[in-house]
Amino acid sequence: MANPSRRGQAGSPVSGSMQGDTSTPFALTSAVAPYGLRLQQTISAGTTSVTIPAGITFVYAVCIGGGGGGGTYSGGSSSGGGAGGIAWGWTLATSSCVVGSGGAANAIGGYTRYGNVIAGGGGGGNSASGVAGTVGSGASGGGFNTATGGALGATNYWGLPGGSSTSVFASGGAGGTGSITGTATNGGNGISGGGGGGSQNASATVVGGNGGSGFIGGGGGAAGTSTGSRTGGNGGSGVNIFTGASYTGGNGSSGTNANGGGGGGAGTIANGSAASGTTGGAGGNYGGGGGGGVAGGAGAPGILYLYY
Amino acid sequence: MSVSIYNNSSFTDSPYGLKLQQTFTASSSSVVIPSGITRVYAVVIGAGGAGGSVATGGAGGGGAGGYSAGWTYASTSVTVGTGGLGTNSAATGASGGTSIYGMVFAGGGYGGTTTAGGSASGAITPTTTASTVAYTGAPATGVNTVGYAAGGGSNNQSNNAVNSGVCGGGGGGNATTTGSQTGGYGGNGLIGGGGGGAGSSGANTGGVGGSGNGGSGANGANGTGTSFGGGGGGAGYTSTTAPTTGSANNGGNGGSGGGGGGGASTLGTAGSGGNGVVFLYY
Repeated sequence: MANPSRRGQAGSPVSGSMQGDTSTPFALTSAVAPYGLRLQQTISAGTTSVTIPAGITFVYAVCIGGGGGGGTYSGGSSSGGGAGGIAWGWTLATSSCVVGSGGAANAIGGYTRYGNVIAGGGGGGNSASGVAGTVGSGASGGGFNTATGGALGATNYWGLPGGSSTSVFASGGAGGTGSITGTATNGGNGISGGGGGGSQNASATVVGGNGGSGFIGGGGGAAGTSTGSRTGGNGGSGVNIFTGASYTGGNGSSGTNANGGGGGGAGTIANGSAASGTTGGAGGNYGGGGGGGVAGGAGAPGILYLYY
Repeated sequence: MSVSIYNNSSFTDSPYGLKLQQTFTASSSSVVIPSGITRVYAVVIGAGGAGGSVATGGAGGGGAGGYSAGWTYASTSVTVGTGGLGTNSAATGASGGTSIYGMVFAGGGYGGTTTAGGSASGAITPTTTASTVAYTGAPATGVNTVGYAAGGGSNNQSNNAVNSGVCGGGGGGNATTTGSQTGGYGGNGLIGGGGGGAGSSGANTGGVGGSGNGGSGANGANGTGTSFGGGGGGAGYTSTTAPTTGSANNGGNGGSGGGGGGGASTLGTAGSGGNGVVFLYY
């Protein structure tokens, strides 16, 4: 029996060639995916072509952009990278796609697009004032031996607004503010979290900001230079958007006159990596932002899910 | 009497299972929708912007037309935008026209300027090198920024990693007049932006137009001296009319379904944008 909730219009003469109308929902079906559709393809970063069976004209796509790389700064006060954006919706079937890679240290993540559905890559932590997100992604934080605020998060595919430093929750979270005296602020929470700010001082206790949490976590900011206590920010947490399972960001490293790297943000299916020494942790798959450090952690790659 | 939304199909808005029933490549005031069809799923694509033209150096390519999709009431008229016409007026190119069916609309791509690429269009036609908000609400973007409707490339932009998206921005022109120069590439997407021009006294390579659903973008014109360097046209959503290559210092035309026109160089004529298209599903 055809599933009535899959027709375009009640009582309309919908074309008779209902596509796959005997399919049954399976484990990876949730509120994000239309009822009754099946996950048919999972496409990894770098793939550029897609084959859709003949007769399938519309596809429901879930796009996740690559996470931004954590900042690299010799003083150790670099910011965390922003999380990749998430976008979902119907599109005409096409034979090409773009699936973004995670940003290397300092670099913005790549965007992911299928048809007209697009999610941006997270902002890379390579600027004292952060790098803004694009199409729903989180921004990177401030730092680099300044007390500068992070960049703004991005509005997403559906027009849900991006965050600022005062937002409780947003589409893409804003980056945290850097510090030159003590504790940097956390990245903003959102569908995609912002990166934490970095902190640096000659002798004070310095603490990097945590990455913002949401469905994908931003990277934690780094803490450096001080001969006193240094604690890198933890990566933000994430949630599997299909199953609801939770994932945690990696811990920042801490010590006296040592360590201080920020942890990587969690992705949609994996925890972020912990910092090691002054090196930031990598973001978790998919889309997690990298942690800041003397050497920043890499952002996680994006992913593309196709339902039909 | 209570109604459960879980078994009442009137609460769904999925286009799944619909068929393409009508395609429009020109405006009409006599659209016929079968009796009983009250709602239609429309895919609406605006026209591409023309490339820019310039007296010295290379001008930017035109931006791609916008792409909008959604449900609408059944209308008896449709507007399909025409591509911006390329000229040799040493000025910003003409924007593409807007396409409209019912309550679904998409703007035309912005014309390339004398230096920068034109922005791709969102739901309404841009009036600057920044793009506009998409029909879904995806944000506008500035020059050299990825987006649903991407911004155009800046002067001397070297690749299209920065101006791609669903609708690609035009490639930046190259204003340097000596040495070997290359025009910026048009942005890739469902609809491609036009390539930028290069107008050096040395070796010139016009920028390649961006790829689209209709195929690859066209190459720019190559050669030594200021009589070369026109940018290639961007591919449109459809493959009915392919984008054309840059020729001498003239830009190539954009492909059908909103491709952006190529930018000209050194008093050449810019490429025109591709016309829009409207698809109706029910």
